[in-house]
Amino acid sequence: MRRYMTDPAKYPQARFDLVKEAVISGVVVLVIVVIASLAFGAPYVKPLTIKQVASTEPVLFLQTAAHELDDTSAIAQYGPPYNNGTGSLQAIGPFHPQTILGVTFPINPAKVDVLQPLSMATPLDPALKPLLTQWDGASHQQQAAWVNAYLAALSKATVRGSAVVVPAAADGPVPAMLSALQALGSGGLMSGALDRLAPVYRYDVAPSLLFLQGAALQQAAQKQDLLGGEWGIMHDELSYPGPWWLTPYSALYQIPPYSTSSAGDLMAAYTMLLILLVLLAVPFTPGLRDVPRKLRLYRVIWRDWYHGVEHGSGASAPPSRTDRRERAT
Amino acid sequence: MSRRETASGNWTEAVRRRAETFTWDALLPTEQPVYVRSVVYSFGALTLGALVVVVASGIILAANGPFWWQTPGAGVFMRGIHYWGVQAFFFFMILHLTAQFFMGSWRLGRAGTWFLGVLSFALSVVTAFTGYLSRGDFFSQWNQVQAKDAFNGSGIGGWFNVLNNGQIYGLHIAVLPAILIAAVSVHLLLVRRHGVVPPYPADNEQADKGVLR
Ligand code: HEM
Repeated sequence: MRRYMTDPAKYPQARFDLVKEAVISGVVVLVIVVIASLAFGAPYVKPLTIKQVASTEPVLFLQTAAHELDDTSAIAQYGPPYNNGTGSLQAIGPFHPQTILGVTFPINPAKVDVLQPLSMATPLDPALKPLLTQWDGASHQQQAAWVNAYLAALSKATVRGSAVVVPAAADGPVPAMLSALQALGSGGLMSGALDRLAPVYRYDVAPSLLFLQGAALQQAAQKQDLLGGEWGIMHDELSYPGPWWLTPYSALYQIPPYSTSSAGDLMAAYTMLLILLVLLAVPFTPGLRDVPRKLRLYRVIWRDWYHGVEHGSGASAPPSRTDRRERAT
Repeated sequence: MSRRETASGNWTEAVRRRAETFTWDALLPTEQPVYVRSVVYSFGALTLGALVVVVASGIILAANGPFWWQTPGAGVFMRGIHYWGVQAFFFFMILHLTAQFFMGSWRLGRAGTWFLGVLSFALSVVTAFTGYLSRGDFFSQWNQVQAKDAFNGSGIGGWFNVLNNGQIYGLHIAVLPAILIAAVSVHLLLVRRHGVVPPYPADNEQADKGVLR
């Protein structure tokens, strides 16, 4: 078989310099890329920090923290791998692969985002200690009532710069706790207090990102039309070409059922897997593997060859099949 | 000789015999069939050229670290090389893939070459994605929180934690490139081993099943 493919009798050979080919290709790419880099640079938009949110969007910060505190945030109810909630559990009927690996990255937002940072700050502000004791000693019902009262009062708050004045309400220690947390945030200490899942390698930024995604990141992204249903990832880079090779994947999010189902991500992921399998199987799939032969675009690519064979310029005309078989044996 | 020895002897011998077919002339041919005459044959080489640029610039970025590549000057320029290298890589790879499809290049025992090509494409997408997450700017943050739902929902989020910069960065600069480079290497060895796929039969030529499929 192999001999047939490279059989010089059927396919006359011509001189070919692979090294030259490789060097030229490398140089061409390098030149294009250096010019593009010099002319356009590389995309970069300053990251969003908790400090920024705490000082420029104080009400948003306090709302997010309040929801984390009484476990009503999206993350508190998310589901695997963070906890056993069902809020973001994606399922198609009984198929929910999200639960297979279980809760591998447990996170307790009330503790990680609010209570722990505040207790770390008690040496700086001893007045925090009785507030935390009061919170810990209260029933869950009482805590929820405090937070609800606080959120209602917060919606009527007046804002002066980064200072928020919340009207008095039956909200127990909550206003003092959260205003201390906001001070920690606007001072720039909060993300350091949050991202401490490991003592030395603090690479896992889940706590701070999950705090930010509560609302602040969502708002900032919306301002730039980056949401999934708006081809988010595609115009990711603003004026730069984004990852346009994700177009088929991104396109799924624009059409039902992907755009409407709460299991849209799950469906899109498995649709892509299916497309990958189909691509892998092209050589073995009758019908699919015949498409290029039927399209005849190959005649453009090999036009010189076909011209030679069909209009008989002797040199490249292939010998008959029988010739070939005789040679191979 | 026991059966076992024969079997293992055959195994090592098969590897050795396979290796012997890769002579320098097979790897760096001085001749190609005459039908190898079209720009589309450069797409694979251009893809490879872009991959080399991407890997080389990536090594320089990794050697200098995240603060360097976020600081205007040499760092941002090198990040630009890496970024535009990736754009060129995907551009040429998609041209290459499309051309190979229209040429039916999986014919005559080349399904493995196609298979590894598709695999390289998929790996490239995942590798590039982890790169976007590693940039360390607003887009990285936004893509991290968006992608977590996709990864979690599809079932691999319990292992592939897009919020863990250590894991993502390690995957991006070591694990995924190593696998990708291995896949591309075998892809290229297979191309050399089989030789360039012959054209479909001409209209005045008798068709042979193998050439068709
Ligand atoms: C990392 C990405 C890739 C690199 C660096 C690469 C490189 C190459 C090179 C240098 C060649 C030989 C020259 C040529 O025909 O252009 C080749 C051939 C080939 N490539 Fe790729 N390729 C890549 C991805 C792909 C993909 C995504 C596919 C298809 C899905 C693919 C399918 C093929 C096939 C079928 C051949 C054999 C052509 C023949 O026998 O005539 N490759 N590749």
